Amino acid sequence: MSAAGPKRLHVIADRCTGCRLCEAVCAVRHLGVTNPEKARLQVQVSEDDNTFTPVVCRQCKKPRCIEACPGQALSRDENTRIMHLEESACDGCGKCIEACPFRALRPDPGTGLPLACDLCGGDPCCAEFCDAGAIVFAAARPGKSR
Amino acid sequence: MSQVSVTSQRLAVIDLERRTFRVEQLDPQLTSRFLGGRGLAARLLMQYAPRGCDPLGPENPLIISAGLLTGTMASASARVNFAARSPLTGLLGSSNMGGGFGPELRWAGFEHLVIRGRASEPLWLYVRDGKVEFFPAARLWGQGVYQTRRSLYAEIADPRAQVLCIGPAGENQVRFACIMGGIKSAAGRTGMGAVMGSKNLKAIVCRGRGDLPIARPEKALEYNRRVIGQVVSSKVSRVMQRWGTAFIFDVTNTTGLVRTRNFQYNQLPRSEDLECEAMEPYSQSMAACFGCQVHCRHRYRLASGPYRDFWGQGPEYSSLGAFGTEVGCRSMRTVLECNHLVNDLGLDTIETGSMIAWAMELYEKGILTRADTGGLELGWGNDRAVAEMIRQIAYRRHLGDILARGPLPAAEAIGKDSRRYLIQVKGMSSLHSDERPTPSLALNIAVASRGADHLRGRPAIDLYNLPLDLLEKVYRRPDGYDGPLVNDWTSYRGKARMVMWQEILYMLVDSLGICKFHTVFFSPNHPAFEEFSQLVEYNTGLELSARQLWTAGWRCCVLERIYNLDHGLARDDDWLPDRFFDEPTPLGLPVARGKCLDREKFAAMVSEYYRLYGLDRDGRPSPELLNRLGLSGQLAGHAAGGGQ
Repeated sequence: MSAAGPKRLHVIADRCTGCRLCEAVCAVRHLGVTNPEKARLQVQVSEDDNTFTPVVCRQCKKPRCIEACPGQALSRDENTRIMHLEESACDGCGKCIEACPFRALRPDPGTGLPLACDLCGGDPCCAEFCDAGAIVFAAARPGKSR
Repeated sequence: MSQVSVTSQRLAVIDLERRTFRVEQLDPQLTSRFLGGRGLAARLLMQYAPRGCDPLGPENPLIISAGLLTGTMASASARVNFAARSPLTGLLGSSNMGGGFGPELRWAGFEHLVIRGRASEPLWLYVRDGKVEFFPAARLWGQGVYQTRRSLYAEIADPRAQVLCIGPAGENQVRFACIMGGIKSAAGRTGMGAVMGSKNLKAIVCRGRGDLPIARPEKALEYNRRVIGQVVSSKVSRVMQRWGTAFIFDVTNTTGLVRTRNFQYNQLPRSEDLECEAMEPYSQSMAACFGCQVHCRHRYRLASGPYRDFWGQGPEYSSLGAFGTEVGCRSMRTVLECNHLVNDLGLDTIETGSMIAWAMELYEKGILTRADTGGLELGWGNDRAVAEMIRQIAYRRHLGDILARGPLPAAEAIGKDSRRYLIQVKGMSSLHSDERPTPSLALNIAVASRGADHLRGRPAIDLYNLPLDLLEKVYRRPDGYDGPLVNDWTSYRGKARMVMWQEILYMLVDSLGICKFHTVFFSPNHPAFEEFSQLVEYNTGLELSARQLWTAGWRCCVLERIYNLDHGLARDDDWLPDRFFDEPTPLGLPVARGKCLDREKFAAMVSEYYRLYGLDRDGRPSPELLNRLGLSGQLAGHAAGGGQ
């Protein structure tokens, strides 16, 4: 294994049970409400098609969202990769959302501002609550098998 | 949109005839007294259902209620309750499901929907963001659940919406039709699907984008993480995460606690293919209801047959009996195909399997013949006949049309000696468990408020022969009960307390919207009153002590009894069929073999149960009890005018 970089969120989709607890706790942690539309991640669930896919911010090496921001409202700490949205500098133009190749970034339906993942300040609750191990916070992606 | 608060509950009264709805805010007092979900639904039923209304008539409301904690992220808080007067029993209709509908309903702006009247043509409802819209469903009518879902998702183009619907069984008003949420979640019992069908209501689609505020977010997150840890650290949760409820089969069948060939045996030998490990070749992985870390549902697909293009989830333990032991079948493949069938056609698994098993015994006895079955050879273990009979029931063909009426009307139609072979209480059939060797479990199904039912008060941990001090730790709280408790499951002593305690606990979790696998059902170490008191406080801000939650559960249980008394319930209805007392179990381990119930001891147990509840000798609440629970004026006094 190569030298560990900063910890990141990893998704192992075939472990996901579709419970969406990650969506719930994310909005509670950040906003004190449950509302999947305001979570900083989303699980795409279709029982009929048997798809259970968490879509999370991957703390990309080259963050297209930050590059795309015209007002420099989005930034991050390069050591921890914790993202920060300076709300006063953001006019909700949506360029960051368009730029995310994983469609992990979405607007808050109330404010229109991007719901940027800040890794809960370094201890992301989505991973903390995912007992199935579908979302893991680690430097390296864990092996697939449990 | 009405004011959002966790404890002031929002209700939409929907009129299918006029295609209108109005939104109400419930008196916050109702929340502390009846909580939500099942408990508050019973209270709303009293208000909106005229006493004695025709269960399949327009005046019978269908009431859909999210639990007080549903959608809050508290331990597996997914559940939503359905209530109406039951077309199966004529008594309380009440059933709940997990999945994703309940939380979505709250994000859409409602805790309760009260659906009244009958649409002049088939409709589906779109509940979203505080509004209810009405759409024609003529082209969906006749479709199975799986196809209905595909059609609706194609139409609304929103994969995050949640869909409730009925299948052909509900449309045809089979008295034990269920309402399906997702491909697996079902409000299975008491015929809520028939009520929906009688209203010409095919489906309810729900989508919400609203906030559900959490009173104390940091405390709630921390405490909820702890409670989840408490649940998933138990061995039984670990087993369920891997095998689902099918894990139960091995031990109950080996012991001899499994209804077989209707009620002739209590064990099915050579049934290895029904044990949970037999799911291995079919199961792809597991799925969960909203917020649940126990994820007890297999995701499976069959390589051939009519359902090869569809994913299925399950099977539950109940299906292993319904399409296994009860009908004498020994094939997991058959169970999985029948699981698909009942979910797609929209039938209650337990009632369906029981009705077919009963018909098979009548066929064996010569009371039914091929002339009655449409030529079907209804012999034990005839896998093909079971699947065909399921279709006959859903489409009301041949004998299926009679079985579709439910146990008591079917026995009346068939006549002869058929009624004595029924395994039912209050007109509803039982799970495939055989309670002859287990007095506590037998009492549970005899007194349950919706008929023979294990999910209303089963003290399952009685089967573990736990150390007495552990049993006391569980059953003496939170009210300081000081009567007898016995850790021997063949005993009649102290069992009334266990059943009452479990009834109040299950009422509480059904009212909070929490799954029974997250409370004291399979494990004595799972959360109970104390933990729920904390969860309620941190999530809703409502301060209710363990003792107060106990009283609220008690109140709601008595209210359900009042509803039943108003509809003719008598002491004789809290009783079991003669076979439980007259036919000893022929198989199983020595502890379960040669057992049947003792009438006198059983009657004493029922009396003790009444006494503990504060009911009189006929099972009616005393004036003191009504006063104490704040229910005075409820008995024989509800909704004479059919609500407001």
